[in-house]
Amino acid sequence: MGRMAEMRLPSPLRRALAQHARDAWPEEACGLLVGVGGAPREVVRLANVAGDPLRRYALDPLEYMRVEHAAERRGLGVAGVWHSHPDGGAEPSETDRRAAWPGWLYVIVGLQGEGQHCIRGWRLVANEFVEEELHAEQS
Amino acid sequence: MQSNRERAPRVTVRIPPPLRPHAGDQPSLSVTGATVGEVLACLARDYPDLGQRLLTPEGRVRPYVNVFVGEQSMTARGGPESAVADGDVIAIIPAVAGG
Repeated sequence: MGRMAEMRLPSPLRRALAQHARDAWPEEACGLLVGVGGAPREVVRLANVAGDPLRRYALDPLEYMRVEHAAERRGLGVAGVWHSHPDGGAEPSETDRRAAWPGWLYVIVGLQGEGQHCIRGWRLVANEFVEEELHAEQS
Repeated sequence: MQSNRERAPRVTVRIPPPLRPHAGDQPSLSVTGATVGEVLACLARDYPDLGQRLLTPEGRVRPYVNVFVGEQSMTARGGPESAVADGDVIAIIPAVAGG
């Protein structure tokens, strides 16, 4: 079995993700990861416009477009998507898998009570999510 | 004598990162067409793999793809029959959602 792919997710980004997830609780928080060459450098929180934000997330396409264009004007790009599971693990659901796009890093923040959280990264490969190990610092 | 395609407006179509591998890894493409639908059909002819991901076999825009002209959605402009003008920027926006 091959070694798990790795991606750097700096500590300030981890803290921002956890804070956004807590702020949105009990609803799901969501947004985009902006970076260079697929590596996240910024966390952008966007509105969750899903009809059932307790169980689903959806981005407003116009907001998505504005973030993508602004990032590319700065020489950056959309590296991935993040969202929270307000009372659960950081594993993707079947709904996540069906809606995912290949190529992007999907980061999930699982809130687990008592201020605990878990952050894990996933990428769609051949229509299945494969985990990527997220490092706080450059390995 | 010019063909219809030669006389049609030339627009820029922005391609989102997940679809760029099907568009020669380009972030945007220059395409001609008098309507949004014609532009998408032209794109699908030139980049068939991209076309499969944007359009159904009947030529309708797939539900997980949003199309904007400037900052207005294609739907709000009247759908694929809505006219485009020279220099318009059409953005293909992936639906980003999950649970």
